[in-house]
Amino acid sequence: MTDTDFKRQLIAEIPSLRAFAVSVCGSFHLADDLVQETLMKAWANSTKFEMGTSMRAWLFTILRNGYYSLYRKRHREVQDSDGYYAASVSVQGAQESRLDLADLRKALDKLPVEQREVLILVGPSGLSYEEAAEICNVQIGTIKSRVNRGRTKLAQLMGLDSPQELLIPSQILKTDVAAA
Amino acid sequence: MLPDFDDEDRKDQALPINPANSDQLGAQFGLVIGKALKAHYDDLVEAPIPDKFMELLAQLEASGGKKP
Repeated sequence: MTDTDFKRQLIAEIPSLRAFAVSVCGSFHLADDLVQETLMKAWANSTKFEMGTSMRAWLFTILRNGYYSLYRKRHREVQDSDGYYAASVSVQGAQESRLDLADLRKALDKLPVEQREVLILVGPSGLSYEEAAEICNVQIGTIKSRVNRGRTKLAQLMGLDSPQELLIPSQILKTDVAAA
Repeated sequence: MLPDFDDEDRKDQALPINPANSDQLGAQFGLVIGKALKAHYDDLVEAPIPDKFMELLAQLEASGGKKP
């Protein structure tokens, strides 16, 4: 792959990489540092990227390793909240969905990082359980149980614990916000 | 035999949310939690990207080498 092709692929993955980073660390400021570091490492190690494999999975692995080494250095969960993250960050978000997002993000922030990361990896970012297992360096069964535990905890934190609430999803996400 | 445990199990099965049953979880939370997580992620993906990343990549490309 030429430098230009490689660069083009990196650019295409920046939005996803950044979304993953913010989801994991809860801060745009820290996420941007992690993304920058990841891009530099990726460029320096471009020959190690295996053609035909997922560039996204490869970049997520690099970013996650960077985050965890920072995490270990600080001996605690790295959280550097800048208050920008709770609300909608894209320009499209309608008022209603902004409230839903704030609610979800508050709940997400309370999950252990190993549950938070898998909920992003196997769902929204479109990676497979196999890829998530490789990224997190654990068995697929571990990923599945983390996903289930994470979903359960999220549902509890968001007050989704009665059958009626589960049947009317569009109203659930607003409940807590309206009550607040 | 531990009949009390069996009773507990049956009670658990009757609850809408049983963390021990992943199929049940998938069916019940899949829609709500999955949709919320996707909305969260998509919102982040659509956020404006800082110029510094493009500048960094341009610098790396201009430097030509693969070493940082």
